[in-house]
Amino acid sequence: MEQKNDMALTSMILGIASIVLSCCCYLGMILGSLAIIFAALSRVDEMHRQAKTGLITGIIGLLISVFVIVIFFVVAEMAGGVS
Amino acid sequence: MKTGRAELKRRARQALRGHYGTAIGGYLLYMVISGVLVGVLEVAIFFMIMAGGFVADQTGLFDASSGEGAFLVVFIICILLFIAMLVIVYMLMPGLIRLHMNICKGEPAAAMDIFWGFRNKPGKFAGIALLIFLISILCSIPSTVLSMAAMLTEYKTFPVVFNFVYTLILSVLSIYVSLTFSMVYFILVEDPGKGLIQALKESRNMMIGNRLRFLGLSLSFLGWMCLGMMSFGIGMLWIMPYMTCTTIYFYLDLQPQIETIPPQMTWNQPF
Repeated sequence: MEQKNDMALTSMILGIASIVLSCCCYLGMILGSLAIIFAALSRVDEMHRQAKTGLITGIIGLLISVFVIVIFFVVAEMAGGVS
Repeated sequence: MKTGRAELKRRARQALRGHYGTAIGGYLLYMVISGVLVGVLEVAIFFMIMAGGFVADQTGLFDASSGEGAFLVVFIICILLFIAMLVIVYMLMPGLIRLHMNICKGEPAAAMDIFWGFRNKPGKFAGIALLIFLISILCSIPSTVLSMAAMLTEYKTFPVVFNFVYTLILSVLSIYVSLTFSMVYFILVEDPGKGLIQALKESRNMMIGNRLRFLGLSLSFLGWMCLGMMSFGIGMLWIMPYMTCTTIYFYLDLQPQIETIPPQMTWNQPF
């Protein structure tokens, strides 16, 4: 049985939250990058299962957030400028 | 024996497990103090300029000569305030290294350790800050003089080319010098009894054949820095201690007689 790893658990929670909140532009990006950071920092010898989940969900959340931000700016530009 | 980058990073992660709170506390204190000092400096400069203008306006002394004198006084006070700020910030750095060194060696560490530099040979660390300030001022003199000359004369091409080449050479030189003397703070923090010249010599000897290795180690954190920036700086609170601990393990690795295996921590300690 794997030992408890708080950082890996946090990474997983943040990763899932980043996917859920990826439509909120920057929030998804912040949570996604934090999930990746925590997943990588929680590893000493081999990566915890929760950390792996956090890493994958964090990357997905981050990519979706970046995509949403790009789409937002493109649509705003087409609608007549961001400002 | 030269330890690989991955192993140094693994040791840093292992040592930090259960100590992230202390390390982050130290970094937060450092950033708050630096931020407050920068804020105080900016406010002081703003008020000095405003007060100087008000006094000159009220007393009717705003002629060319008194204007120049007032500007000079404000300029000197600003420079002195800047030096004072620089000295304080540079004196906090040894404390930050001491805090992380204690974590890496498995010794008791607390966030308040960042004030260690003020208690142990403060003059030496203040001297390093002044030395760095003087060197940077001296290095900027040629390009500043040439830029001013370019503004006053019609010769524009030479100053632009000179500044470009000079900046390029200066960048390469500063990277080389900073790599050569990168271990000075670690040497002085580990043994405050050593002199500055001795620490500089030791750092130079230590880094022979290790400069590229250290450059590679530093560059390997670029991805981490990007992630830290994407999290709007929040992630940097965890990344900075990780980077510092890795550098400390690199420094300890340059001393083969010292055991550099990090203290064993259990998995379920809070971070």
